Amino acid sequence: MDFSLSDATRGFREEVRAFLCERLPKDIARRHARGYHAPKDDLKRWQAILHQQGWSAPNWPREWGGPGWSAIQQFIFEDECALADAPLPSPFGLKLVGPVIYTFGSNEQREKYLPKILSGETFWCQGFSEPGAGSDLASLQTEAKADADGFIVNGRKIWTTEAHFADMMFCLARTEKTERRQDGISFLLLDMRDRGVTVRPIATIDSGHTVNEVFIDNVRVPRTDLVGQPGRGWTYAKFLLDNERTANSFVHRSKRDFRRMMSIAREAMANGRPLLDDEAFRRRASRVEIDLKALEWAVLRMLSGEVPDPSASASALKLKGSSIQHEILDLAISAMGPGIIPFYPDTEGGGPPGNLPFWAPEEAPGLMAQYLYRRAGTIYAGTSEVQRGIIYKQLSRR
Amino acid sequence: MDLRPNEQQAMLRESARRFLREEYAFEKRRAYLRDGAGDLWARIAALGWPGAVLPEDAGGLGGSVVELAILMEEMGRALYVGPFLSTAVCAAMLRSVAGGRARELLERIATCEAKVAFAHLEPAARGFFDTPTVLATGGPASFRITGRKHLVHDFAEAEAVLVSAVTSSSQALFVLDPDASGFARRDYKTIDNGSATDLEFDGAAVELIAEGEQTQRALDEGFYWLAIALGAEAAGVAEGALDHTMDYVAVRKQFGRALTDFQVVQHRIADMFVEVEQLKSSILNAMSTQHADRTERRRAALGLKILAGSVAAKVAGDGLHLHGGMGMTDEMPISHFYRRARVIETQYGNSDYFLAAYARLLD
Repeated sequence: MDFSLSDATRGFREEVRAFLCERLPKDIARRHARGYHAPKDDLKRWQAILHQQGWSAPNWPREWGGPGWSAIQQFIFEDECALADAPLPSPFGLKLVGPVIYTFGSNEQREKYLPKILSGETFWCQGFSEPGAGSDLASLQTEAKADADGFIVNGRKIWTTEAHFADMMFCLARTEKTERRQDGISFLLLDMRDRGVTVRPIATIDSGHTVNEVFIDNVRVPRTDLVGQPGRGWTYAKFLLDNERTANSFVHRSKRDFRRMMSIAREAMANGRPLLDDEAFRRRASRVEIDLKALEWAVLRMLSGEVPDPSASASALKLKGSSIQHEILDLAISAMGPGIIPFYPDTEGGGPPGNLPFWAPEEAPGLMAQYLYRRAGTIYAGTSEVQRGIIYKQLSRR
Repeated sequence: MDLRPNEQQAMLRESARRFLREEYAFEKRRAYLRDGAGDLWARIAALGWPGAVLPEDAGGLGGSVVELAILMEEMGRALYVGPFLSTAVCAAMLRSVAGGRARELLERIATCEAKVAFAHLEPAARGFFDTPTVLATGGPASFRITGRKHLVHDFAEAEAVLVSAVTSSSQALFVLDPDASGFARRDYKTIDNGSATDLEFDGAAVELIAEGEQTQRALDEGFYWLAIALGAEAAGVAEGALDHTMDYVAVRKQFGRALTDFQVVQHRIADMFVEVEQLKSSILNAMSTQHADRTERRRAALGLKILAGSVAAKVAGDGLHLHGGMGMTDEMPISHFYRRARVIETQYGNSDYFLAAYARLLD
């Protein structure tokens, strides 16, 4: 084993850091650091800047416009971006549908969609979950009826992140009634500007607007927007989720959150000294940091392929990652003390209006909104129960 | 020993539960929070709740912390938002100080005429026991205060405000008329849909009601009542969260079965129940020290405040998780139970703060 980074890799980190220092707009970083959801405009501007540099799709191969980075380089890039408070680019195009399109899509789809994902001109959303199909995704009911030119789609999607500013949706819909439920599902690219699409915001616990319900009423999807083979949608969806084995460890974001927590604890005064000098607090923080360091190496193991079972390990990463994320944020709000009680309106992000208190600690606005929203970490992308089920299933097969 | 509520107490619980279930149902609550609560307080006053928790020596109906806990638990279950808690804590403090002004205010609370807020925490404060820095100057007849108060719950509705401050010689409590001049105010919402206010005093005239040891006694009494009230409210919040979660997992189906058929769900629900029961027992422990010495009572109150926050947040958090995505929505009661639980955990100091205080008293 060799734990050192090569000179070239270290140089790469320096290069990324210098780029972020120079090109990441300060206002975007400041807004993102608060913890509210990044407004569309910030995502768009930042994606355009990355695109100019040729870095907008770190995970894509060179052939399709990616920088051709190794897994370690991608890891370093994401790490530096998180530490610099760069907003996480919208994952739906870059991380999720992009790889599906370049792997299973037609040449026409590749030419039509990939360049605009790279440049950030087109935003995507994911039409998977439905009111009756959450953990049990294969029970989805949205129907796509085939005719001569393509499909007429009807159904209802829920928890659709960023649907309110997405141009396109990649969508799982049933094209056939089959014995095995998974077999009748197809993967469609659906135009959100179609007049049969209605987006209804879902008011969430953090008072922000991130997720939506999407009503799909007789929306026409041309045959050319079916990805791959009909009835193979489930396979593509699994590929898409498998592609991101380390994303749900939240490791980069958690490192950033840990740093924010430490700075809150340094500023907060308890009994006349910084809270960070309090022995009990230091021990709690130490315990979390121990897990966070191990998590980082767990991600590196996964990236190196040094895990006994990639599916089981991906689920383990999500379980550990979501629990570490909660623990860090728990510490942060403990450190903040009574400052978490006021509702701080997101004045720049277009959330509901309201008064700010006269006095608020520097890091208070956005912290609680983020805390509340991240409760979903054990729910989305497979609940903790689903992840445990996957782990056991994988282990029992060996 | 008899841990059962007596007949009046049982009736009080029953009537509070019925009133809140009917008049403060979740959809009505939503409308109150959006459009204002109208005559809700008048109807609560007509039921005599503020007086029901006060003993006869305070002009009340022979009540005690037992009645306080009964009402607060029901309010927690119904996610009640309003000035009851602030007023009850102020009543406890007023009862332990002598003097005409305190007496008069207490009587107005007992007859449900007055709502009173407590301006105690300051911008950098961590919790209830931090020494105030608001400074009172002047003589016995006319004091003026300068300084800042933060997170004054229910200020906007109060007809009088108790303000903790320091004089040149000691800690003291004052009464402020919210219509007086000499201060700036900023009202804002709290994450659990309550309301709070920041105050910046610049020579506001106030009336002295307690100083020196009397202030300490009043704060002790206030904290004891606060802990019982929040502990009981937390029990109501946690039990409400458990009930709503039970209802949800019974009807929500995935993989062709109700969620409640999954053992992993059953076990989590069982753990939620265990936590709720532990909290309820801790309330009894705290109430049993009503007449005990200062340290013992303080310790029981601290213990209850700590369990209140951690149990309510844990149980409501588990309930939120078991609701899946629906738990994240404003539409579902569980997200409100969780937010209230989080505020209870932090109100007047968080668990870390009070655990440190408890640890200092451990022997």
